[in-house]
Amino acid sequence: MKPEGTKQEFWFFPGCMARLKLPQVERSVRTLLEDLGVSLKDEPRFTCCPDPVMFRSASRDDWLFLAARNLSLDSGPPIVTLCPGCASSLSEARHVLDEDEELAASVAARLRKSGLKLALPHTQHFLQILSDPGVREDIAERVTKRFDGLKAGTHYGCHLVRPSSAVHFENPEKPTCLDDLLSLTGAEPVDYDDKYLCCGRPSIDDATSSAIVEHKLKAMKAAGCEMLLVACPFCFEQFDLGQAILERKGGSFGIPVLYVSQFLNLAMGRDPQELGLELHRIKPNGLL
Amino acid sequence: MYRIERSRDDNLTRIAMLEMARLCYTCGICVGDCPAARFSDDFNPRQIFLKVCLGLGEGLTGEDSPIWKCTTCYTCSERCPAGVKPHEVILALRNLSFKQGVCPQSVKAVRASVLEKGAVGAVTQRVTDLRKRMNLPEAGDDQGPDLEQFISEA
Repeated sequence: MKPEGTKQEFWFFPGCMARLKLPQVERSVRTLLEDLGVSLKDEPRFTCCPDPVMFRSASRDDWLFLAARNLSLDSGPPIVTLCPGCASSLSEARHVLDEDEELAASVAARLRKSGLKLALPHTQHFLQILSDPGVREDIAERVTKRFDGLKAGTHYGCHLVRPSSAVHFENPEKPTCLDDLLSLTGAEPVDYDDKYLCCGRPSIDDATSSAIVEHKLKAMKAAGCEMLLVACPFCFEQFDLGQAILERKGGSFGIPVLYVSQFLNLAMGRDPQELGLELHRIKPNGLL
Repeated sequence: MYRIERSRDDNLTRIAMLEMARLCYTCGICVGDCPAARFSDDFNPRQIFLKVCLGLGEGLTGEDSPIWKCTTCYTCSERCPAGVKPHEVILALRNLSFKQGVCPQSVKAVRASVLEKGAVGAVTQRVTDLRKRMNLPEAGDDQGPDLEQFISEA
């Protein structure tokens, strides 16, 4: 365990998707970080990061400016997010402004009109905190419910590791952190076909998006996955709700999807009743 | 000598020139593992990029353009051996479509929601109740800062 006095502190950036649609995910991330002695500060003035896909598709300039606004609201500790989209969006904006002095000066001048001073704090997804060897050791020591032999798939989510020039976390094409965390509980990471393929969710074309998620779910099933671990609210919805929709059309998968923090809450002895798992479309009852 | 007519859109030209300076040699690595290319019939990041370089990018804007199929996974830009960023070119084409008013309704809706409420989506009674039950901070009152005004004033 970490000695007292080395407590890490962050601004907590919940993002729209968990805050407004998947509060159980936000609950589990807060609980996990609190259990690990990480202190979180809330900033009610944070807005959408903004969304690196849809919002940025409308205007790159406005995306950059609103990201700069979020980054400049406070001084002090760095930012931690629960969504890779938020972490990637804010990190990329920071990177763009870091590299381009002229652009940064013009953004700074615009922010000054609203009384803000341009700041570029570091932003990370909470999995980056969990990758610290000391924290991982701490988790291993706290595991009270083991999942020995459980065959589990992992899906990383593109924005967790890309663009690597801005995010700087793990191998941008073959990350391992989720598989490593699974192993701490005795669960068995499964290598299924196209494991590192995008979930398809951000495609604005529904046919492309559902073809990809169906392909991935079939590959997981073929490899014998009994559960899927994710770290992105959008991937979560794509695999949970998307799976339910495919099952209604006659597909048969039965692969419950857990957010990595929910899985660790369970492994670290939290009461399943606290986790809101009944809100999932694919019920993870077999894991409790 | 052929003279290549560039796009009339300044932003698109700027991005295409910036990326072209890195010399795409059409190796196609951006196509190989592209999710949208694998799972649809008419999406090809190399083709999109080359069309923009040849000044034909404006034919790629509009609601029915293949550009909306991109999943923004960034694999193309990670792998390009010449350092080209095809996803930036696709996003520039999307921005141009938006400017022309010819983009999918979902993009307009997300933008409007963020500018009006500061968030994608609304605070519903369901989420208010769930957050209370889960002992989470209140989701807010749906009245975030007026970002439309924030942008226009700056």
